Amino acid sequence: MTRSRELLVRVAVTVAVFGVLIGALSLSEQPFDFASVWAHRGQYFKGLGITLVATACAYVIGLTLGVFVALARLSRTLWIRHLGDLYVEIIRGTPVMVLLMLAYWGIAPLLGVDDKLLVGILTLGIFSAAYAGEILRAGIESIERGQFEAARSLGLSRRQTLRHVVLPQAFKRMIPPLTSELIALTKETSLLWIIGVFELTAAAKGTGAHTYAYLEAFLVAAGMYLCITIPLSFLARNLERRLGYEARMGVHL
Amino acid sequence: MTVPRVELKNVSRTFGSVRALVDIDLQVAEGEKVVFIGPSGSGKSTLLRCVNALEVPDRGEVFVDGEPVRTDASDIDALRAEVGMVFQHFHLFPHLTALENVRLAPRLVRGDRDERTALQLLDRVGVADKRDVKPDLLSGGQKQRVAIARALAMGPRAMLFDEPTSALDPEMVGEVLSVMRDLAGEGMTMLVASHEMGFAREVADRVYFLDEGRIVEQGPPEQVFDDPREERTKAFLSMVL
Repeated sequence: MTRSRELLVRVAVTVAVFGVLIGALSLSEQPFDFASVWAHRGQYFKGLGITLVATACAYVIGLTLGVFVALARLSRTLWIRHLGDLYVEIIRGTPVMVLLMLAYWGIAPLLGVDDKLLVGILTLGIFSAAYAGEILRAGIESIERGQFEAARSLGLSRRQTLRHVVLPQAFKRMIPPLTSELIALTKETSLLWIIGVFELTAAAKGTGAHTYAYLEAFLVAAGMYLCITIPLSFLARNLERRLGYEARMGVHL
Repeated sequence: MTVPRVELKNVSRTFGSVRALVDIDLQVAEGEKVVFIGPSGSGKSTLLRCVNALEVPDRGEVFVDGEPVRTDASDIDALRAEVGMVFQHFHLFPHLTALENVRLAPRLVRGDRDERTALQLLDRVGVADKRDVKPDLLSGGQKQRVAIARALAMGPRAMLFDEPTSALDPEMVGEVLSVMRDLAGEGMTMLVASHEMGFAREVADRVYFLDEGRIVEQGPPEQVFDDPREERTKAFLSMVL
C-alpha cells in the first residue's frame, strides 16, 4: 500500500470514529456548553501545568530509582537481589491510590511533611520505579548471553560490557515499554486530586461542579490528556526508528 | 622443557547431573593446531570455554603460558584478552559496524585509538569493503570472518574456534575455512571444535575424539580418521564421514 493511500485510510477511519462519537453525544436534548468551560480556562491551564510537572518529576524519580531496582534484581548477591524483588512485588502489587493515601494520611504526618504535590510526586515516583526497574531488567536480560560472552572473551570488563555492548542494544528495546510507562504515569497523576493536588482532573471536576457542564468539562480534560500522550507516542516511535540497526520487516497478523 | 601455550590439568566440569568434562589432561604447544571432534554434548565446547574462563572447572586447572586461568583473579579480563574466541553463532555486536566491532576491544581495553590495525585485519579476512556495514546486512560467512578479525584484534596468543562453520550455509563454509587455514599457516596456536574433517586432515597436528566428556582417542589426523583404535571413534566417524 502506498504511503498516501495509507494516510487516507487512517484519516478516514479517525474522522468516522469521532463523527460517530460526537453524533451520539449530541443526541441529548441539551446543546453542548463549551462556553462555560472556556470561562474556566485559567483553571485548566493551571491544572495542566501541575500535571506536566508532576509527571516529569515522578518519571525522573522513577527512572533513577528504577536503575537501582534493576541493578539490585540482577545482582550476584542474593540478599541484594531479594531486596529488589521485595520492592517490585510490594510496590507493584499495591493500588497506587492506596499508596497515595497511605503516603499522605499515614506517612507524611509522621515525617512532618505537608506539601501535597511533593508527597504526590514522590509516591508516584516510587510507584513508577517498580515498573521502570522491571522494564530495565527485562531489557538487559533480553540481550542474548552470547553478547556478554563475546565481550568478555575480548577482555572487556563487566562494566564495559554493560556500557558499550548490552545497554545500547537494550535501550532500543526499552523505548516502547518506557514510553508506555510515561503515558501511564501521565494518567496516574489524575489520582492526585484525592490528596488535594490541583491538577488537570481536579480542574475539570471543579469546572463541572461550578457549571454543571460535566460532559464538556471532562471531554476537555480528556482532550488535554490526549494532547500530551499522543505526541509522546510519536516521539518514541521516531526515536526507536532512528536507533534501528536491524533490517526491518513490517509484521502484520 | 618449554611451557605449553595451553594446558588443562585434570579438568572436570559438571552441569547438574551431566558430566560435561571428566579428568581432561591436555597440552597444546605454541603454534600447534588441535581439532576436537565428537557428538554434540561430548564436551568440546565446554573444553574450549574453560580455556578463556567462560566456564569454570569444578576440579582441575587451566593454564595459558603457565599462568593459571581463574575467573576470580583480578586480571581475568587481561587473561581473556590473551585468548581469542570465535563462536558458532558469531555474536557480533549488532549495533556496531564491522570496523567498530573489530575496534571496540582494543579501544576500550588498551586505549588504542588507531583504526589502521582494525582495517588491516578486515582486509586480511577479505571484508575490508564491508567496514561500515552493520552485521545484520552481512552474510553468515562475512559475519564469521568479521568475528575472526575481532578476535585477532587483541593480538591473542591462541585462538579458540567453537564450531565456526556449523551455522553457515554450505557455500560459505569454504571462505571461513580458508581464513582459518591462512591463520594456521602464520603459526597461530589454534584449538578448534569442528566436524570439518577435510580441514582437520589438512591443518591439524592432532585430533581429539571426545565422547561423554572424556578424551576417547587422540592422534595425528590420518591415524584418528583412517585407522581409529576405539569402537566409539569408528562408530562416530562412520556416521559423519
